[in-house]
Amino acid sequence: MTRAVLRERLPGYVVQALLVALVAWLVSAAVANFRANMHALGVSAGFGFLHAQAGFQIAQSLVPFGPASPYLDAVIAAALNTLLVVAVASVLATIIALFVAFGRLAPHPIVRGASTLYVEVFRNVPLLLQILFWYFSAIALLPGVADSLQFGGILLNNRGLFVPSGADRPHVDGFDVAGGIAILPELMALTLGLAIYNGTFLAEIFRAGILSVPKGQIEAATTVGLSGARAALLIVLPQALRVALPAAGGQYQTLAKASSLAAAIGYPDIMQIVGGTIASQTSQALEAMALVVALYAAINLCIALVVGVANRWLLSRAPG
Amino acid sequence: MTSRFVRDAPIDARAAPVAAIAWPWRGRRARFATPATSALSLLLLALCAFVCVRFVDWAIVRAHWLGQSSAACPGDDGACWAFVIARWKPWLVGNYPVGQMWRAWTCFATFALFWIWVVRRPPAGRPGPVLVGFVLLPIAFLILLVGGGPLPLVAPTQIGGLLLTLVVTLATFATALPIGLAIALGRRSQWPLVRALCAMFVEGMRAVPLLAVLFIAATLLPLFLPRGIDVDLFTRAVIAFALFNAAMAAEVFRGGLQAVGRGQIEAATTVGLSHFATLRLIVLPQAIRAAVPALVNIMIAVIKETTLLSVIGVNDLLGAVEIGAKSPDWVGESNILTSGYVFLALAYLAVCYGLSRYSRRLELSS
Repeated sequence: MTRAVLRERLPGYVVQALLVALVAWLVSAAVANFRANMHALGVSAGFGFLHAQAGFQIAQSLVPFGPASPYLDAVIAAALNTLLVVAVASVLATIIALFVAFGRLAPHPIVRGASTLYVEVFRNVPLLLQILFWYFSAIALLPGVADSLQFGGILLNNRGLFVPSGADRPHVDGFDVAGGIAILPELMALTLGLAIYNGTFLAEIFRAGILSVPKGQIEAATTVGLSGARAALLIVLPQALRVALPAAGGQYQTLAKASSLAAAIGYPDIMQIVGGTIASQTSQALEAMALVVALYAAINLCIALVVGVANRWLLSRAPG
Repeated sequence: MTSRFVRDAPIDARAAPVAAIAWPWRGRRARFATPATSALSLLLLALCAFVCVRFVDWAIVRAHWLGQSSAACPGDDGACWAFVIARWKPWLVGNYPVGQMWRAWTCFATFALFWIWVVRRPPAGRPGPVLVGFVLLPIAFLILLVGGGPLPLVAPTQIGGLLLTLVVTLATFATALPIGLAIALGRRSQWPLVRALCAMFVEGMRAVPLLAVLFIAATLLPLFLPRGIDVDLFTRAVIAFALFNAAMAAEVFRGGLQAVGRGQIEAATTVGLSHFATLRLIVLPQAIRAAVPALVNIMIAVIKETTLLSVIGVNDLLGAVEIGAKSPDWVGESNILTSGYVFLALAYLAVCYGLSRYSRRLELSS
């Protein structure tokens, strides 16, 4: 390396070396403080607590869990709960968004107005407020167990939604409901809030995709004899999705992160169980929050991978 | 044998275009064109009327407007605006001492005047003074509200309600913008280490929920500080907000910087401008102007995100409503809490919708 080149690159080397030194010093100071504080509190370090007994019960668990199960099972149950709420809310949000996106572009003025009103109202009210409203105001207004609403075999009351599973039909048993599958009111409120709020953003994304399809396509479809819903489904939607899918993938990731608001209403998801219960019970906040961050990053990565695969599949079907 | 068609009479006239139809009959074409459309219109109008009547009945006709406790709002039939009116002070300023309220009023009035000045500026004007104002305002507000020196000291934890939401939003905006700009410039740097650090920060912040960052700030951050240094919850929450939104602002600025053509930078080098002079004179003015509508969207998002402060125990507007509904005076029917939520929803709706219209106006003019 010639001296002139070295002289030109020297400031860069010096600045980067100083930056590395600064970051290293900050990290080492933070680690030293952390170890001193944890030592003073008498709290152990490491992930050994995952094998200890949990000692608490989770209201909804898709895998068997009890107070004698280890913390690791609690983490798995919480992760499955998060995946459940994210999956159901995503599907519901997509359905709402497709209807509202086409509604905003409908020729009928009342349909157009109602869709626009929905988007503007539910986009500008904070998500936490919407979830709290659904949980405290809407679901609390449902009747008690004794006066449960009945639709076929399904019972709806302020303790939740009870769905028959096979031959096991839910029925009122004293002050509670026995039998069937119980869907918690927390899950209902969280799903409703997430679906309606993210449905507005997805509706705008899908609308942008629909608007990107050239008008000639719809005119050609009408010429051939396809019009209205059939043209929308067969001609417009596939092309619109091609444009909208990357942005929609980002919105699904936002939905997954927003599901952490379950901690505000007590739904047992990752934030509530791992970031709340486990962190406070074991006092190992660093390991618990590291788990939380890792789990949400993993969920986001999975969503990004799925959307990437879907994107490539859509593009591969494009003609030419 | 060829057949020809020769028209011997004019074709029927088409219906007049919509704009030529008098207004009472104009809507008829769109709403009642076919029987199916007419049925849909009638159904939707009936639904709309039903919902409006029920809401007006709950919110105005059967509402209770005055009172000091939950006894003023018996039953579940009407809204409890007495709750909203009686708790106006905690919701507006939290636990701020009554004798020092003039400082809160000054902050609100200053912000109102500042915002009126911002909105009345032409959209194509320079964004510089506005952004400098946004950076200076929260510093001035915090100095005024917390005091010290000639003004009596008020602990930051006593600030609550709408005042807290305002201060946190402005403080977040003021800190996130410069940090975000620095990170965005760092991502374009020629030094690989700087680029890597900035990219790691932005991607890391985008992968985690804001609530997780707030939990970390609330529970973990004190453990990383040396014994003896105590940072209160309010400051830690503002730091968490600032870092998270700095990552979002960095992405916006990255888009703005990419909007400036490379030819501009090459021409600046030709003319003899140094790297920093190019940034200051050529790149940044165009980049910031391109980024302003998206920055307003970030501000709308920050206003909505301040509600998360209530989850970690900071007394913002949503937290003040919940504390009010649990206070001994007002605990009772769920209707009281619902009235509070509806009032909050209308308030946030007004603010965020207004800001979104402003953002659209900025976008359309640029």
